[in-house]
Amino acid sequence: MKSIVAAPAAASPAGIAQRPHPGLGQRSLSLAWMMWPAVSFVGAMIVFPLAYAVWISLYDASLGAEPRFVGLGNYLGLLRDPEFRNAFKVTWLLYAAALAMQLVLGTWLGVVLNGVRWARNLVCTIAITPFMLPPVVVGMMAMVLLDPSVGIVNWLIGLIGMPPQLWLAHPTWVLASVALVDTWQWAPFVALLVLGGLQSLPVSVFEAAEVDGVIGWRRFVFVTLPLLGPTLLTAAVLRSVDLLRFFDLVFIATRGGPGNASTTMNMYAYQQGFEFSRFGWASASMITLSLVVLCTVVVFARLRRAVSW
Amino acid sequence: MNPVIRTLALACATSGAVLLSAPARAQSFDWKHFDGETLNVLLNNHPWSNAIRDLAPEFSAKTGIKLRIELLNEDPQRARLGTLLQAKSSDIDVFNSLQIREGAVYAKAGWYADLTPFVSNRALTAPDFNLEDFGEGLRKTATFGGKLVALPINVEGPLFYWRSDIFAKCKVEVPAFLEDIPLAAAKLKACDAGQGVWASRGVRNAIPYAMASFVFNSGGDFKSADKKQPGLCQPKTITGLSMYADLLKNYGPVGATNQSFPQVVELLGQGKIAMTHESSNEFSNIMKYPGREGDLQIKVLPKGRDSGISKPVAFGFGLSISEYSKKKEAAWYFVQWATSAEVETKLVAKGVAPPRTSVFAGPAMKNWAGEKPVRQQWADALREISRTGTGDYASPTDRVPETREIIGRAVQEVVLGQKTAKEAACAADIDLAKLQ
Amino acid sequence: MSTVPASPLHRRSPSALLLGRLQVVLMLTLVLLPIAWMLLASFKHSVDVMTLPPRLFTAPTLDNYRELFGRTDFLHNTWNSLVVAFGATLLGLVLAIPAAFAISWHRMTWPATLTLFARMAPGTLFLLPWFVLFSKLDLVGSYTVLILTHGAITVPVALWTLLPYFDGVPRALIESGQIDGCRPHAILLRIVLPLVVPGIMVAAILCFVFTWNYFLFALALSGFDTKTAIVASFNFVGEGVTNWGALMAAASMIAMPPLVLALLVQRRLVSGLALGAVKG
Repeated sequence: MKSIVAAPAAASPAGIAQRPHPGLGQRSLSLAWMMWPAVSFVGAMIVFPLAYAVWISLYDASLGAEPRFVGLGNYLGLLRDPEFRNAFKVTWLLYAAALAMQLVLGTWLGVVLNGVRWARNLVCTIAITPFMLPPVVVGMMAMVLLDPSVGIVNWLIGLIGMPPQLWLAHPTWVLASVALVDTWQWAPFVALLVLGGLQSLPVSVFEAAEVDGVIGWRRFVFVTLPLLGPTLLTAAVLRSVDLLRFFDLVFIATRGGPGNASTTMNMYAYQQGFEFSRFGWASASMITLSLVVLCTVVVFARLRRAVSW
Repeated sequence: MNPVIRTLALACATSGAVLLSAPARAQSFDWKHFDGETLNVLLNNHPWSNAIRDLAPEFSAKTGIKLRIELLNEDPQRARLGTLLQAKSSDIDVFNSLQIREGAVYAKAGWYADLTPFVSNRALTAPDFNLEDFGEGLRKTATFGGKLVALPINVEGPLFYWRSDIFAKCKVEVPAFLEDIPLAAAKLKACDAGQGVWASRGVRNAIPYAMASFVFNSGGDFKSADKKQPGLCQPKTITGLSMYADLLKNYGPVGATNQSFPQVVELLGQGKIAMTHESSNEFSNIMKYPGREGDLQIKVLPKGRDSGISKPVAFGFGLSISEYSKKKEAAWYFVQWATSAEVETKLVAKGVAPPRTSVFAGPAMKNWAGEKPVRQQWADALREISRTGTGDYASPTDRVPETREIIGRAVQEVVLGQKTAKEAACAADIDLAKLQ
Repeated sequence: MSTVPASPLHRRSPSALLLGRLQVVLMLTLVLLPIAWMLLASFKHSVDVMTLPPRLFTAPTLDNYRELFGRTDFLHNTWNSLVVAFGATLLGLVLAIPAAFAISWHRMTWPATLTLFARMAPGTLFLLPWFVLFSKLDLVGSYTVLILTHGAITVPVALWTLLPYFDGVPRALIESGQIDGCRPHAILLRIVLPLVVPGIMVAAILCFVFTWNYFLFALALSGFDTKTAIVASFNFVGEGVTNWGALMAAASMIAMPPLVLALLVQRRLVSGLALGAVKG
């Protein structure tokens, strides 16, 4: 849904939809060369590892054993493997829950921060502290604070009369707890992006909206949110690539458990490669995961077209 | 001069010279031989590693070899080790690993340098080294395909810790047999509902360590009778497995399936549980909690009443030289120093149980253990498990880490009430068979 | 809910104001509680960290920090982290700014997707091949290899962060620059860049933080002298640790530099807009 306000002429350094001009600029100004350094750099860095991983994934290769060519055998085996299928399911559930929470709460947080008057610098910095912490540290803290027996969170809720929760030890709801912890850490990241986006929105748009009588909640939904579209899309993409490769938290705080209720694809691949030394199988898992993420990013990239232009 | 006398004089002079120089030739081992070298050592986070790092300056002073010791937690250490050794990098000279878990695989991959030629090389080995001082079982675990791949650096295993004061208060007898443990747990729970009774490892790959002796002491095994197939689906194995699972399920803390030894140590240390089966390594950590030195007692897990078997788990980490190291001889100097009787004696005070029988029976150990009764119990228990213990609690396969996951998962399924012990065990056997 | 970006026309009602303030307080509390716990724990003995009921005010001890600095070369490691993080951030921005400009102008999608490749595969996929490659180039253990590998992270992060800002620059502005005879790089530097400064600030923070906290590449590729703080903290971090106090001390120390940087940069972020006003 495009903005209900006509595109203003004022500077708008964050996503106001503009219709493409046919005209001088697009035909004669060629900037494509400017992107080649970035693209070639990344390409050069990843081409060898990707080729290597693909090559190894075509072999039944384990530590101490002779590698045996199996073609797509590993991939077919993965599709049939119940543990991998479980990991696939776990990854998607966790991704959907966490992304939704982070986008919603992050936007709320960004909006709140935007309205802060005093000590804005300090408040904003404090508010974004969680994602400055290394994910491994957050994992350890989660493991400790949410421990059902010795964790302080259960003690606190016990003070107000609630029974102790299993949190990360719950066979069914462990993913909800994991998503919650991850949201604690990353909603501030979304908030930072939203804050930057909001800061760049032109005052004139909002003045015009007020003149039109659009205020409060309606203004947020019909004016602010669409203007934030591109920013939220970036937030969604950047979080998606990390959420689909979820690792640190589950590895540290739950070890993929209880059972394999929180074993994500990345953790599955790590176990296969680094704990069981099944390199061919692990490479196939990693390539599969990469393809899954690639598809998701392509979807978002297409969305960007709709949202930005 | 008379030619005979001249010849005789010459002979005397020559033999004299030979005799004088002989001690110099035999005395060719020199600690300072590799003065100026630098060694890269990659260790995992373990009481031994931390203690050795503190002692490193002594080694450098003695040999002139500079040590660059990297200490990482187990998983990052394994990731770094795996990456570097797969790439055949010479960046690591010495590392420690767990032979009972990854030994077979690492040995097949050719990552370990064979230590046998070093040990038998008088020029490179201190005369008082004495390889036989290490228990035979430990030496055997560190030997693959005839090659000695590591020197043991410690002995460890799970021990039965219990709170004598709680048992006394509730008038419960200390379990004398394995089967008494669940009975005691029931009585303790009935006696004081607010006092936690039991905790032990519940994380999937950590369970086998704490559970294995329950299986062995019940008369079961993880291998079939002919030792060629997985043996979880045997009646006595199932008995042991379900005993461990039921203890966790009925008397364990909330969320037990997410807990490993940090949580168990915390619970025991804070006095929130009455008994556990946990690693001997955690002894010094547990003693740091106020009160535990006075009320905690330790022994080996009681033997089974019906089976009469007491087969505890015991193993040690091993220090190895990388096959790709370019400084193997200098590395050997570090390895033999770190496993020498002198150094092991110093490590006793830091809670590291020595693998050398001479040190275990030596005065340093006696003095340290004599200071507190619970220390003596710890030392006695360790001595027993060194003698009777085993490091093998997997089905017959080289892929040991995977067996830990499968066996642990079976137990978790019972704890969580998803399967009965028999169902879980027999299903696990099918998965274990795929590893062979 | 009032969501006003500094509009002078709208006066907030007292109840809206109160609601706004409550939200801020609630948010700050949720954020700060675990972090406060972490800081407090770093000054306690390990045995006291997890006791319940929690003893808030035990006699503080510096033992954990002493152990942290004594056991590991933490200051040196922090310096290494700074070099690598700054280097990777710089690399990321230098490559991503022109790329974002080009991608936004030409309305392309595939280059942006491609740079994200390095973030699509699990980090562990890169470890062994990179190690083999860089040890052949004799770069293992150098700052160079660390900056280059983390650049594979910062370039896509910076690029995607900057895209919305570049997308929002009016095309007419760029065209008028071209008509005036400006070369493309001049257009970028003199016309467009001042408008996207807030985006650059955000991108800089993110690049720095992501590099600072990323341990996987440094775990395999750093040498003894170039070990970063996050890898050094693996002395205490990871499954099976009972040294909670030292772990929290390490965590507190690691969180400091990104926080300080964010504090410094926030000022520019907030006031960066002032440069953005352009007559239209």
